[in-house]
Amino acid sequence: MARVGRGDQAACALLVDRHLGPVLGFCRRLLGDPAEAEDTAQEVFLRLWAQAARWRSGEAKLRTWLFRVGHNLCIDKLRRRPTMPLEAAGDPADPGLAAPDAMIRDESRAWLRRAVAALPDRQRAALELCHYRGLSNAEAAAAMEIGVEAVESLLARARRTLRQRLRAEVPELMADA
Amino acid sequence: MTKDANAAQGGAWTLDRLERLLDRYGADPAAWPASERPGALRLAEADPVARGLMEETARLDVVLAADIEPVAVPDGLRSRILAAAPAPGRQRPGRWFGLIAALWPFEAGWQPAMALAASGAIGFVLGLSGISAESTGVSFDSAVDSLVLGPVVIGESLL
Repeated sequence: MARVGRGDQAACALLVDRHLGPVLGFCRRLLGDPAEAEDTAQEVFLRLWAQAARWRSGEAKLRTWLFRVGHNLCIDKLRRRPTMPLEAAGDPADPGLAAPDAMIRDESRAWLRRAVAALPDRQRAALELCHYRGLSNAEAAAAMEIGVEAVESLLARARRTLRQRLRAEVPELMADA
Repeated sequence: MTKDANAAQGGAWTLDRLERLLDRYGADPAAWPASERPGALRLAEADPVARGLMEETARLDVVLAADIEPVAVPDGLRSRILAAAPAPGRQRPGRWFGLIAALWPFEAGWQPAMALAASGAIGFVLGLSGISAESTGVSFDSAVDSLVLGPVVIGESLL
């Protein structure tokens, strides 16, 4: 971060290459809108650049800081959205593939993404951080600004919902998985 | 429920307790707290419903694991972010500029700062006169003129 603060372009590029994908994936999963997710991920890094010169090492782990800013921005955007019935929301964005014509490749993935998109925001955020982005429960707690216990509870509720829906809606996947 | 809380429950293993464990840690016993493992595995061996819960959870684990993949980043997004990155020649904001930027994030901070300074100067000049602008009939414009062009004599007063 010190090199980034000094304007070292190679360090900036390295940092973007390492963290942009996970932050973008996180925003896509939370927002479900690829364009809005891109804007949000960009805003996260613009805030990082603004902060870079004053960054104090040890104050916050960079990865946690990025997800915390991303989480706050996403939650703000979600709160400003008018509520709509779930059926009207359509399929969630594919967090792994950027091209609009990229198709979901198999039935289990398509089902899972719909099911994850239907989870409450905080459960989805916890699942995304811990399962998809590989953060520890403690790191996810720091990113979401809640306690570790609360993260574990959110994860457990998310997994239970997914498991029950999997059993009820696609029992053949349960057999084939 | 934390590991400690689970451990505090002692040996009473029920389907509810197993379900909570599976929802929290998944179906891989290696991921469970060591203190929970023997009792949970005993229940799974003895009870077909418990075994079914474990199998269900294992399948969810597989479906979740299959969905993990790297995220493709659009080139345009990467370029836009890097174009805004700090550059060696760019002056770093000092503490006061940082404060102004925090208070006025909309555009260049010098604009509100100058407006504030100008209004302060006008107030200072009017205050030095010891009389109000209303009582002398001095308009705001003439007060500004006095700042820009120098003192203006009105009657016996020197503004």
